Amino acid sequence: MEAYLELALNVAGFAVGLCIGVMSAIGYRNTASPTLLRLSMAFISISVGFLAVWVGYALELLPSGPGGPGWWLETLGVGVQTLGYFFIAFSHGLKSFFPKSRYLRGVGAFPLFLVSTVQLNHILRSVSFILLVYAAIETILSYVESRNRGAVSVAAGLAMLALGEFLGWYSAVFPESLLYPVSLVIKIAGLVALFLPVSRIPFRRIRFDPGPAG
Amino acid sequence: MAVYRTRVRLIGEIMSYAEVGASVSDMARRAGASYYRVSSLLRTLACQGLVERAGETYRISPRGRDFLREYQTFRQYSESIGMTV
Repeated sequence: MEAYLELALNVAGFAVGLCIGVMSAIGYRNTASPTLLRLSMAFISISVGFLAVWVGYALELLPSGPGGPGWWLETLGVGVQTLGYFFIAFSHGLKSFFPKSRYLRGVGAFPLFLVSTVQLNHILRSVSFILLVYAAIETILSYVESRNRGAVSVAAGLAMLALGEFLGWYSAVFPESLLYPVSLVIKIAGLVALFLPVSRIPFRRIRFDPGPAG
Repeated sequence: MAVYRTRVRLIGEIMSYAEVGASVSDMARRAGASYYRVSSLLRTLACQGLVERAGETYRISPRGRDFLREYQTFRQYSESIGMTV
């Protein structure tokens, strides 16, 4: 029963992420805004990540056992989701915090070669957690400036996604508990909260080519 | 304090000024942008059929109104996510 619940939640996450991603892509198509391009990349990545985790989990139910292709697909899905969260954080100006020198970049990437593949999933979840907390704080700060109610919903959504990631990572400590399904439920609730401001956008299609000048 | 403004956002501002019709210098003054930059953007917008030129005045076209409506919708959407278009 728990397995079916997890599969259903991953499918729901895929659908919600895809919906927001496509809406942002339509916004990019109509306005040529780079922000909307980053948002579409973020949510399509999150959607694909949920799909990969879902398929990976389904494969893990087969007799191949842990360490098989299902496990790798799940890790890949978590990685793609992390990439999506990165694009959200990047849109809030994360690039200004990036290490400038090549030396620091090398040091930052080095630990990835030291950890075993079993820990990779947990590292990705912790990176996702940090990116989501950052994005939630930035969104709250933007609400303080703009007083736009939608920003509260989005900040709550990002915070719930962060909590979901944390619980998903922490579930490794208690593998037989309900922590992982609860983390998925919280993540889906977060995606729904993100979806609320998007749901007000009407669909329309206009071609706008920015041209070479400017 | 100077506020960073994206190209798309400046286009949106110019288009809103063109709703009632305005000259390049008038738009540049109201937008706080250089004459050259606004003039260059208006040429691009005119090539796309989003604004129409009548003498010294630029006025928004029907297609431009569609774009402006979309821009305003997605600007509101972006701001609700805590970002700028």
